[in-house]
Amino acid sequence: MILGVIEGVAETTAAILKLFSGIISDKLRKRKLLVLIGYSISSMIRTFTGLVSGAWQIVFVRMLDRVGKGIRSAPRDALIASSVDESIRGKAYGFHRSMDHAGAVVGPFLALFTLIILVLGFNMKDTLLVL
Amino acid sequence: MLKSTPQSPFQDPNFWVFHVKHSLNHSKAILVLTKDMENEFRSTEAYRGNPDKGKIPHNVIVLGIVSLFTDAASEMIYPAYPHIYRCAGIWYSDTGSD
Repeated sequence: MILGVIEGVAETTAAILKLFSGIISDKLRKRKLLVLIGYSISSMIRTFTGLVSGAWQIVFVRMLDRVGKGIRSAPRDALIASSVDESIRGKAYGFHRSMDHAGAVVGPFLALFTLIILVLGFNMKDTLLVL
Repeated sequence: MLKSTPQSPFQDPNFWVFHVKHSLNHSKAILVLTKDMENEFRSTEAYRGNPDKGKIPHNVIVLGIVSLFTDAASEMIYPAYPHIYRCAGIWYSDTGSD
């Protein structure tokens, strides 16, 4: 139940913020600034994940991580749309999404290699046990 | 019998009909000219031979790279969540994925 609350709060925050950040970026006409703020919040707050010691702290970290995602998503898409010619808009979005998904593939491998190098000291037996 | 004549040309309805028609024709001519100019530009070598026309701009490439690293960082933490939740006193079952 607590896990559901944590994820629910995080995802709801992102979904609501996406709407407002889109409207704000349209009014301010400063999409790059919002994208920068969104990525910065997510990147900085993620480092605190290793320091949490209670459920409310996890809620806070996860929520702020999703706040960053909520702030950056809509202005980023608008920025891409306004940066490219109409004829190659699909290509630009396709490139961006492919890079995003490539990150999802690279991430677990990076985590694995970090684990092997830093924690297990190249010990393949322990590595296979972890896997 | 005296015929009333308008005091100024602006009071004559024919004046306005003439000028509105003239303005409309003028606007149509401008539209046609603009379209012709656009077509002419699209047929030039400068437009057709532009090597950057179909390329993804630099800022979109940079955004893609930033997204790659951000998502990689996000996915790096995911395998560690069970341990983090357990340390925080929460029983981990499944966090799902975004």
